[in-house]
Amino acid sequence: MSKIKNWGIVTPSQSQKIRNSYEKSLFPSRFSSWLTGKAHSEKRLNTIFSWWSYLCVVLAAFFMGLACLIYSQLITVQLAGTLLVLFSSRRLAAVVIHQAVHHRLSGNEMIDMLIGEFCAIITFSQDFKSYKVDHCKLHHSPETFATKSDPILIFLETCGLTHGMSKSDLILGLWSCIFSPFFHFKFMVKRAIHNLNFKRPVRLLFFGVYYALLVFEMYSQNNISGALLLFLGLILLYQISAFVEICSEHLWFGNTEERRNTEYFYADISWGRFCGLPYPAVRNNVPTWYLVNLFYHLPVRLFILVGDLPQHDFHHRHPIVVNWTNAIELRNEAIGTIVENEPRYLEVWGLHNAIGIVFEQLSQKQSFVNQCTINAD
Amino acid sequence: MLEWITGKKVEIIFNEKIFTGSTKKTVLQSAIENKIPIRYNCGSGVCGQCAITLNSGEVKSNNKILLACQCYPDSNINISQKV
Repeated sequence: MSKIKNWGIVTPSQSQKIRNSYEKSLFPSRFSSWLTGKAHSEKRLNTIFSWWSYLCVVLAAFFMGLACLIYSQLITVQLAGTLLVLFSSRRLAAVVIHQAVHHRLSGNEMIDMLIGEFCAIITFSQDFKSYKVDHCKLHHSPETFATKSDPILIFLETCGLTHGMSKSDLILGLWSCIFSPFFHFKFMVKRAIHNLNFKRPVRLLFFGVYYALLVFEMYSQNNISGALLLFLGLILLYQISAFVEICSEHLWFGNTEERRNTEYFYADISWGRFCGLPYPAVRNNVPTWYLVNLFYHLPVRLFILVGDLPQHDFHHRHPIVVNWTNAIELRNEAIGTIVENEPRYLEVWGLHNAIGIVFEQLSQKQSFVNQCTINAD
Repeated sequence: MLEWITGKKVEIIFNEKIFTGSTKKTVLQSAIENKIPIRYNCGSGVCGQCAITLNSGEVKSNNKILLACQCYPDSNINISQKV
């Protein structure tokens, strides 16, 4: 068995076969493209969303979730509200605020900044201004991307996941963080510090007014279970989702000295992360295939690899694409129009495989994806 | 007639390649639309990857260092970027 199979990285043509095999299932093609994050090779199914309709839907889901948690006493409604808050807050942070710091949400710098700050306040996440520096200056720069100066890697290191640990220790560390009250407390304090910035009084005032209203409504409804579930969705589950996502995002510490000076320094340490598995050839395995899709890949797509995160490698190659809501189709197009000297796209199916590759790299002293690309040929 | 919205057309020479841009579009936007290879990354004036040198012509920019993603041509321009 080749090393590629062990690592789970596949070539775009192998990957396309996996996606196209979904056509044999009962899932509609559009749903399959959304679920997997990979477009069909022939059927072109452009998104129905523009930036503003996407934003409106996600904001509506967020406030609907909040309303369920504040005004309903029914536990089933409240649980649905928790999932809605998680679903939408992750999209607001990982898609809306992310595109806004690149000035690619509306395309207007001022509008993007205002929307970005508003979303950062309501999701209790890092403020727009400092996130822009962390993300654009450090995460997108060849000198610091995926190195120990990358803010995401600094965060992972503070969580105890670092270079040189054995793979089993890294996996244990991941699970420990997910259930650790200490991890959640530290993460929450970090989020609070970003929001309680006295150097930015206007933002602080909006932050104070918003959360005062939220607490007042919760208190006046005397809805303790709603408040606890809001804490679960917006703080605990959000943090788990963000943490698991970054554990699979790039080949951390893979940006080696020789790679930094190349034009495509980010290409072979980023990949498409798709949710799914090939449709089984054996009929008896079909029910299991549906179960795995519905109870593993679907929740991952809903709550962890949200929005355009499955095509995150495409974002690093084409960071200022305006039509980012259609990244599923655009990435497939880009594979077909690869320019001279541009490295081939790498693709991974299953979040667990992407995490496995990252942990494999973290446990080794040398970067191995170049070798992997060679083997894939 | 719609020049105040779409901007005035300008000629941009970038590393000896000629293409058409607009006074309402950043140099980076025009370069990408014309499929001109240009080094860039964040697109929001922070990472500094798209720094360019203005050889002739005029551009509007708020930065000391000229960044293709942040500057708008005011006239026909000749710019270059170190490869």
